[in-house]
Amino acid sequence: MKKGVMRPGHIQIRVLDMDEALKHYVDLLGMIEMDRDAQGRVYLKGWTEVDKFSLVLREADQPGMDFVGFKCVDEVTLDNLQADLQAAGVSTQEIPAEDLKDCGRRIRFTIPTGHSFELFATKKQTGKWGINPRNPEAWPRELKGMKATRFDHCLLYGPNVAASVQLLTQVLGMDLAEQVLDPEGKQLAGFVTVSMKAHDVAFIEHPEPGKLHHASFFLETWNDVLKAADLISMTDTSLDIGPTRHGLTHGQTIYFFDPSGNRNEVFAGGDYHYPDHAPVTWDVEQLGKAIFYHDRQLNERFLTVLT
Amino acid sequence: MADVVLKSQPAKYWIQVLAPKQGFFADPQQSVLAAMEAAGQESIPVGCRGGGCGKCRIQIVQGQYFSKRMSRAWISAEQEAQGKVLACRVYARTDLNIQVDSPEIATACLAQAG
Repeated sequence: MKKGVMRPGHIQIRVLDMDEALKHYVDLLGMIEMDRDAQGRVYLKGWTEVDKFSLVLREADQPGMDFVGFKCVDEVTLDNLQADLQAAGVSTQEIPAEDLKDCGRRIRFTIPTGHSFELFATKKQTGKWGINPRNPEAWPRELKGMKATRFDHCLLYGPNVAASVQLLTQVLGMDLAEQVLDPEGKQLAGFVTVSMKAHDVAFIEHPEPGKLHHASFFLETWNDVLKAADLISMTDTSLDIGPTRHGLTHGQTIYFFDPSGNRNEVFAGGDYHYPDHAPVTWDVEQLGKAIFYHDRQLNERFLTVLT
Repeated sequence: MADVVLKSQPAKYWIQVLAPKQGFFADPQQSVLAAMEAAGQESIPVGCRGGGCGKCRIQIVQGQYFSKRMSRAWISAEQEAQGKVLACRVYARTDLNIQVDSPEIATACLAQAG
């Protein structure tokens, strides 16, 4: 049952070196630099996104994810969801407007997998980058690199996946689109959506809390994924695996790393989800195929290389 | 560590891995890990190649090097001062003797699946 959470709105990622990171996210992924703030954070977005930013980079001595934020339909919804979270025993913190530039107040809370989640409703809208909102052309001609269209989702590792999935579905009105179950029926992975997408955020069971597996950016076609792979070779960027296809969501994908070791994905395609769809289930015995549909086996990095 | 650039640099330095006994040449512009991969060797585990995941931790036993920032999750300031580094963020400035020193890294609970 939808409760007014719309989409992943932003992710803040820590990087070891801002100049190296910007070369990666701007020149290679094709994200657009939109702003910087007094803390030295840099705000970026994919060209199709109407809000001012979706990716915030912060220089720090330990890479990883600071938080991921979901945009809600309005401020009243934000108040209602905060009350619902508190009623469910989740303590919340209100981050004042303008802590992130041109973003309204954010309600922050920690989910059982140890990740910092946020809800917000207000952010400056600058429109799609490089095209006129009236009689728009198909795409801007000035895009760089992979021409990433949007921040799409993130995959998070931590303990208590089932509890995080339960919180997001029961309290925040998201849907479970796909899952991996062990023979006893324990949920080892949960792919959660607030839209028609196969996932807006995903979780995999892991002993350490609060880990980032990857931040993912959307491309339009399989050919774009292939060209992204070409660019990864041309720039000698650290490749993880791909191009290939996932079994889970059936998206066409390539995994690689930013210069601080945060894993990125660019992908195309994938399944769709409506609220009346039962979750798609993968048995853990089929995990190799679920993750890498063609190789049908996991690489060791998928299970251990995190930030 | 400050970047020590020698006037008459040899084109490559020899990186001696003490155990398993192996070695490879490294260009000064190439991280120790990248040089190992280019040599087709596997003595140092490879992860993200960006100083984030901790997989390629080594102990520099002897020699001079330049290192870029690496995750404090895996290398404390003290360890760094004692030559414990991530091979993907380290560039040889002389021949080096190194020891592989992989940290304990947690594995996702999917691994039992096999």
